[in-house]
This record gives sequence, structure tokens and C-alpha cells, in this order.
Amino acid sequence: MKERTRKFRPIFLMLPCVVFLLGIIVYPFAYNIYLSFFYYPFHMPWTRHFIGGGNYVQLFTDPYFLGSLKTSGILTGLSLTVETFLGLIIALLLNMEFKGRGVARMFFIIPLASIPIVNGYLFKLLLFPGASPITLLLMKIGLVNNSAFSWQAQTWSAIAAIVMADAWKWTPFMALIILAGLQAIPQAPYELANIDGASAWRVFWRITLPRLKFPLTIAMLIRAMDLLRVFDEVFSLTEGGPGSATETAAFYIYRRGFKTFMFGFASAASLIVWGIIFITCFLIIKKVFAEI
Amino acid sequence: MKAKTMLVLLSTLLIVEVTLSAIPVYAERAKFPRAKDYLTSENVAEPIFKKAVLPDEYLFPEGWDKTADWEMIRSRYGGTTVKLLCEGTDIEAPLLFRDQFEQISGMKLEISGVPPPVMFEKMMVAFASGVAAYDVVEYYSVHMPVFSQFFEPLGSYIAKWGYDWEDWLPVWQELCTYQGKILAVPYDCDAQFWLSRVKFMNEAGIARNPKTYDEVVEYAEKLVPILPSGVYPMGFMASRSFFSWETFLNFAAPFGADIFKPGTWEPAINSPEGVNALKFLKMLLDNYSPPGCTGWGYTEQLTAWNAGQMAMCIQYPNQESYNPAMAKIAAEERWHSIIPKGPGPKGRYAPEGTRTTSILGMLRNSPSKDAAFTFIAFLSSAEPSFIYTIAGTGLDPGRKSVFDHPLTKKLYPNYQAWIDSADYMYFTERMPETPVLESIAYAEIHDVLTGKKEAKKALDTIVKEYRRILERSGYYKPGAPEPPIMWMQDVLKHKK
Amino acid sequence: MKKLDAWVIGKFILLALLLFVFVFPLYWLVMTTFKPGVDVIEFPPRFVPSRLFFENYPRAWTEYSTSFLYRNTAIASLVGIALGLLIGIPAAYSAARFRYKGRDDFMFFILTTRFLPPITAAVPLYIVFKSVGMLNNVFALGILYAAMNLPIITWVLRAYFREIPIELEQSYMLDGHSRLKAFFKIVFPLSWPGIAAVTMLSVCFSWGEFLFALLFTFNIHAKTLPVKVAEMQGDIGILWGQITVIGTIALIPIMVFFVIIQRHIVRGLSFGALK
Repeated sequence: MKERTRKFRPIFLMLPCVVFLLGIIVYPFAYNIYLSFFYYPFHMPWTRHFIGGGNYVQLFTDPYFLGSLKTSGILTGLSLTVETFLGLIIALLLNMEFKGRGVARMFFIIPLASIPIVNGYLFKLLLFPGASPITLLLMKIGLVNNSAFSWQAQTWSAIAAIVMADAWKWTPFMALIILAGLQAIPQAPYELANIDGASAWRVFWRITLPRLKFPLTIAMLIRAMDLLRVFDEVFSLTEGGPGSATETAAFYIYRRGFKTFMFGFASAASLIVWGIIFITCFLIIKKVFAEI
Repeated sequence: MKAKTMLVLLSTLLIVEVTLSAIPVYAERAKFPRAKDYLTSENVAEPIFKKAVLPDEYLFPEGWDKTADWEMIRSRYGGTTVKLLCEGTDIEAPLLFRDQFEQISGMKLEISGVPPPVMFEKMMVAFASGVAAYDVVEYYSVHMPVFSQFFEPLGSYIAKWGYDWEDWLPVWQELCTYQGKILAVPYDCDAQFWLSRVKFMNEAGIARNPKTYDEVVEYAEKLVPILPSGVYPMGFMASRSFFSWETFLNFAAPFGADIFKPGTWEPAINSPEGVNALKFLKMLLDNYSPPGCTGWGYTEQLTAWNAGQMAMCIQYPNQESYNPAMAKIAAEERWHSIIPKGPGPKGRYAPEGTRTTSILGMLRNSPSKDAAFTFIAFLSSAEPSFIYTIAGTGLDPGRKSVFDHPLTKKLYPNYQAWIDSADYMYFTERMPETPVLESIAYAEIHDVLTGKKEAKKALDTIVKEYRRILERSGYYKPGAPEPPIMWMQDVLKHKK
Repeated sequence: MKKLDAWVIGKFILLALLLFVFVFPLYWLVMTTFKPGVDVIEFPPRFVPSRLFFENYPRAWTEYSTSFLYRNTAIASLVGIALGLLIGIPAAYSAARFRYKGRDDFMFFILTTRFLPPITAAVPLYIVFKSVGMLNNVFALGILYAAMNLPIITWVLRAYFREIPIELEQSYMLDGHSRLKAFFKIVFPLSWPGIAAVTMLSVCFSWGEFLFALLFTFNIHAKTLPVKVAEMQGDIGILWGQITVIGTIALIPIMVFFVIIQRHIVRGLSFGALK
């Protein structure tokens, strides 16, 4: 047997990744921390000055910012719920054995492959007041009664529009991960349950769901991270309206920080958002992965 | 079998089309831009094209593009590349003239388009690093004070190259001047007018466009009974972006309100006139407009207008509404007029819309400034200006010579409205703080228009925030810049 | 058996309904590419176009240099994935197999790089890229995409590697082979589905990435498909035809890719399949 001459340290496998990411992220992060303590209008350099926690104070007393955090939370929660629920149903259905299953799967995956910015325009088209096929379809079921119904004009419909656009693209993601999880479950417990005569619901609740916990959590974690920063759909569909009902944190940062060239302000806001995401993910991981 | 043949047929068709479209059209072309060369049935909307015959001669033989010393320019700057940055589909116009410009000047022209919604960001990021990636930038005039430090004053170039600056209408000269320096040349001279579709107006027994906002309501009432389902009396851009602010100003200024009290930096938009204007706008949106208006930016409103969803509206002049390939209402006759007056003794003509005028600026760190200026002068000369107006590229003229030309009167539907409005325009705030101010203003206005806030409260908030920002920037201390004159009528009085 | 029939039919109806809901926007997208500009927004909307218009496709090809856009987008995505895998696989493997100080902290750090809203990283990154002369460069963009993909790559692959029984490697190494060889001969082939899965996910993110592509590219040498889409809006209005054409043709390579990889993907995302 050959003697290993060099001691193998697994940490060296990890380091390239960490160093690479550090290199890319450290400057933006430090830059933002630094700027967040300044009044920093980019286009008026002669007015820039240190203001310590001034930006932070302004943010925490700005009802629009606090509102945007709440909106981000609501949208994340709603989208996640819809996507998980629908994803679960779709995965369960696609788990069945039937001819053409591959084709069905492919059709469900396509939205995932779409370009987000195209989707923004697509849904604008699909929801254009007066020319919207979706409104028309809803009219046929009797949910809406005016073909010129404007999705951006009411809070509930604006939120629904964004959830719709996001769910269209990302439910397949959830479905895929759940489906994979389902396929990994061995047959044995099911056969046993069958013999025992357990109802379908019990089977699902007691056998299927627990084994999905791990894949579900990873998928929800990934989605939650992205949803808390959602921007594209808001930008193309509602621009934060009506009023500021759909202004997410990312959009607020864009509108009040970037479009106005107030970099210091934008940095402070971004760091607060970052902090919130950090804490959320930290808690989720601690709780769920504690068993691993 | 049938499907296969269809497939073969379709693919052949596709191949043939692609090949044909790649064959350039070689026609005998005049040396300098000539209207007849560029304005063909292909790029001019049919209803407009058949209104007049274009002569063989140059329409503007005295224009800078013809009288400049191209020999000298070519010998000195031939081979230089001029890099132009412009927004979205506005590249159509410079694209139109690129070949000819390159031929005459010996220079190369590189055009970069940027999506309008992110134009601002793109400029910001490009300037943030000082990268000299462009020589000439086409951008919204409202951003000029914001970017003023990056642009080269053009006064000396205008003198040196004998450019006909005075041919531009006073309002555009004013708009391109900041703190006494000329920082840009006008390009797409926007203004907003009141438009209406004649067939509905006639049917409702109305003989002309409304002159006052009281008449607007009166006419709307007359229109409601005769309009088919799905068509509304009017519709405005009221999305949660500067559009709602701009639309509001088209009511506020005519009602007699002012952004700042004239001669001072005191924000005054919450005057009784301002509050009334805002309430009035909301009333029009609630009662006579399609429900989607609060989500309408320029493109949405234009789309709805072109699809025939309204009988009247406020809009920029646009040639593409006459293009049958783009608008269902292309062949309809329309009236254009100046934005109506507000009610009462303070009511006046004060249209807004200059905010989105685009201008051509030259970057300070451009390596080839003179070459860049010749391009600017070329593109903004009279004949090219006339051409890209009529050609439906979405741009509009601002030169006296263009407006004086008899053909303009025939081919440009907005002619009269333009002439009427030019001396009454109202400017939005033009200062480096504008982006911040507007981001607050339009959010408040949008809250009112969507019913989430009271008009007076919103306007009071705007005034309070404006004061705070101006105070922080030092506008209330000695040494502050001169308060701006916001209304063209006052500017003209001042000049006398 | 009889009870099963009604239940099964119900399930299929539900499936068909969901399929309709998800395919419908796609249908609308493709259908719009065949509509002339005037017909795109109609009051009331029509579900089947009244006339077909084929101009949009050849125009996209000739006027908008679509071949260049494809090339750029492909390079950026490929670099993003290749580099991501190159760096991410070792990291994921080390986190799956070994315990060492800082392992979990490093993994969490990797995850946190995805927390920052992209727009705030834009300006400082722009300055960085400019100072090393890497603006308007698809490879540089690819490097950025690799960084954005790494959190997903590492986390998903770690979970996947962990499921591969360590006994397989151990027995292979007992025969005298090095750890590296064990990886390539045993782990790599077995984890192929997992790698296919993260590749698919990375493709999805990189292919449609818009913000950085927009800000860091100037001209056709480096512009990507999503950026071109955003340019289709200007004074003339939204060029729906062009946007939907680009959207449609951009889907094609990805769909082909999916069809090929499809079988692996589902297996690839199954955690525990190998047990």
C-alpha cells in the first residue's frame, strides 16, 4: 500500500471558493458600509459630508421605507405559500405514472427558463386593462365584471399580479425539487400503509410530508432569499403602486436611493435589508439544519 | 403530407424574406441630407405622406449641414470615431443619417442605445467611474443640472463652427442653458398638447378642442352618451413615476399654481390653485378615464391611444399614431391644441412637457471634442431635423426655420398647437436636487390619484420636503443661485 | 378499483387545468411574435390572432444582430457555470465529507453573498471592473455570474454529495487509489444528476440576468439578450413584436438543453435517492 506523503487538508478545497467570493463581495460590501455613514449625493460632490447614523435615522423614521419592508415580507410570504402549495400539487400529480409524463414535465419546466425581463413585458401585455386575456378569462368564471379592470389600480390586484408573475416562473422550481424528493421516497412505507388501509390524506401527512422536509426547506430558503429582494416584477408591472402598496424594499432603494443619486442613503437601506435577510436565513438554517 | 408541404413553404418564405431584407437599396442620393431622399412611403405614415409632394431641391439650403466646411473637417478629423449614447429606440434618427454623416465627414459613428427606464442609471454608472466611453450623449433635459459637471459648455464651439444657435425657438435655448452656459443642443423638442379624435367630437356636437378646463368637463359630459363601450372620454399618464407629476403640472400650472413662488425659492405648489388642480385631475381620472390610468406611463398611454381607447388626451406629439402599422386610429383626423386654461382669474395657458425634451450634450472627457461637435451640429441641423420629425421616428422639431417652412405646416399635424404653445411653456424644477424632489413629489401625487391620500395633505408634504431639501443644499443662504423663471411668458418679459 | 377511477380522472383534470394555466402565458408569448404591432393590444383581446405576420423574425435576425447576442449570452452563461462548477464542486465536496473548523461558517458565508440587493453592488463593482479594464467583456460578466451561482451550486451539491455512501469511496481507496481518483471514478459519475440539476439552475439565473449585463456592457461585442430586450422601448412605444421574438428565440436553446438533461435533473435533485 502506498504511503500518503502529503497530509491532505480538506479546507484547501473550500478556500478557492471562499477567496473568490470574498474578492468579489468584499469591496461592494465595504463600500456600502462606508457610504452609509455619509450624506452622499453622487452628482453634487461639494455637498457630501459625514453624518454618522443620519441615514439610518432617516430610514427608520420614513413610513415609506418601513412600509416597503412590510410589503417585501407580505409578498415573500404570499409568493412562497402559493409556489409551495402549487408546487406540491404539481409534483404529486407529475409523480403519477402515465404516458406523456415527460412531455408534461417539459411544459412545466419552460417558465423556469424564461428571461425575467421578458416576463415583465409579457405580463404587462397579459394584464393590460381592456386588452387582457386573463381578465377576460376571469370574467367568464365570474370573478371580475369589467373588461377594463386595471390590475395596477387596486392594492389586492397589484399584489396578485406580482405574485402571479413570480409564481408562473418559479412554481416549476418548487415542483421540480419536490418531485425529486418524492421520487426518492422508497416504496416500502406506502405498501405498509396500503395494507393497513390508511386513508390517502393520512398517507400524505404521515409518510410523504416528513420526508420532503429537507428538500422543501432548501427550496424555500433559496426562494425566500430571492423574493426578499424582488425587483423585476415590481418594476415592470406596478412600479410600486397603487400608492406605495407594492413597493418592496428593493424598489424603495432603487427609487429613493438610486434614481436620486443618493448613494449613502441607498447603501444604508441596502445594509438594513441585508441584515434582515441575514437574520431570517440564519434562523431558518439554525432551526432546520440543526438535526443534520 | 400536407403539414410537410406547409413547413417547406414556410421555411422557403422565411429564407426568401431574410435574403431580400439584406439587400440594400441603392438609390441616387444627394450629397447632403435631402428630405426627398429620406422621406419615402416606407418611413412616413401613409396619411401624412400623401399630403404633399417633396421637391427635388434641398428644403433648407442654408442649413449648417450644407454650409459647413466639410473638406476641412474631413481632412482634420477623418478617421475619428464619434461615440453616441442615446435612449432606446431613439437611435432610429441617428441611424438614419449615419451613412451619410460618415461619408461626408470621413468619421466613424458608433451608436449605443440604452433602455429609457434605465437610461438615468446607465448614465450615472458610466459617469461614476469617469470612463470616457462616449463623446456625445442624448438625454432628457431635466437631467442636465444633475449631470452638468460632466458636460462641456458649447458656447465657444457654437461660435467657432458658425452654428445657427439662434434658429432654435427661445424656449429651447432657455432649456439648454444652465447657470448662464449653453450645455447642450436641442434635439427632440417635446411639448404636450391636448388631442382629440374628430369623429367623436363631431358626433357629440363639439366644434373645437376645449380652451379651458371647464370646457373639458362640459365636453366630456357630451361625449359620454355617444362613445361606444370600451372607449372613454379621456385618459392621462398617471403612473407612479415622474409621469404623474408631469400630468399634474399640466393642470396645476394652467390653474395658476407655481412650483416656486416667482422670484423666490419658496415651494408654493400647495396653494389653493394647486389643491384645486389636483382634486380636479383626480375627478377626471375617476369619472372619465379608463381605470388603468394610474398605471400608465408614456408607452401605456400611447398604446391605449393608438388602440382607440380614448376620445381625448394630453400627449406628446407623435407621428407613429398616424402609422397604420402601429395604430388602429392611424387614418382618423385629429385636433391638436394648446393645453387648456384653468378656471378663474389666475387661470392661464401654461403647458408642460418640456421635461422629456432630449438634448445632445458633449462630454467633458471626450477625446475628440471638435469632431463630436460637428456631429452634434450635423444631426441637429434644419433639414435632418425636418426629416426625422416627419419620418415618424418619434422626434419633434424646435427650429424657427423648420416651423416657418410651408411643408411643415402641411405635413406636421401638431404645427398650430406648437406655435401656440411655444411661448407659454412652463418648466419643471431644473436643479441638481431634481431627482430627489421628484421622487418625493410623484409618490405623493400618485397616492392622491389612487385615493390613498388627501390632496391638501399630499401637497403640504411635498412643500415641506422641498423646503427641507433646499435648506440642506443651502438655497436659503446668501450666495444661493438665482431663483429660476418657470414660465416662458415671464422669461420673455424678462428678456425685454 | 372503482373508487380509484373517479379519483384518477379528477387528478388528470386538475393536471390538465394546471398545465393550461402554465402554458397559457407561453402561448401568448409565441402568438404575439406573429402579430403585427397594431394587433398586439386589442380591445377586446382575441385568443387566436386574426392575421399572421412573419416580419418580426427576419427583422430580429438582421436588424438586431441576434447571432451576436446569442453568442454573448452563451459565453457569459457558460463561463458562469464552468467556473462555478470548477470552484464549487471542491467546496461542496469538502463540506459534505469532512469536518473542519469553520466549515459551516464558510458555507453560511457563501450563502450570504446572495443577500445583497444586486443594485447596491453595481456601482462599486463597476469601479472594480473598470479599473482592471474588464468592462464590456463577456468573460468578466461570466466571472460575476459564477459568483452569483456559487451559493446554489455549493449548497445543493453539498446535500447531494452527502447522500452518496462514503463506503463506496472508502472501499475504492482501500484498493490503493488516491482520494482524487476516488472522486473522479466514484463520486463524480454518481453525482452526475446533481451536477446536471445545478447546471440547469445556473443556466436559468445566468441566461436571463439583466442588471449587471446592462450596466457593464456597451456595445454588441458584449451585449446579452436580456439587455437587447430592454432596448425595445422608446419614444415610439414598446416594440412588442421584437421583445416577444427575442423572448421566444432565447427560450429555444434552453429548452433543447432541458430536454437533453431532463431525465437527469429530477434524479439530480433527489436527496437520498441513492440509499
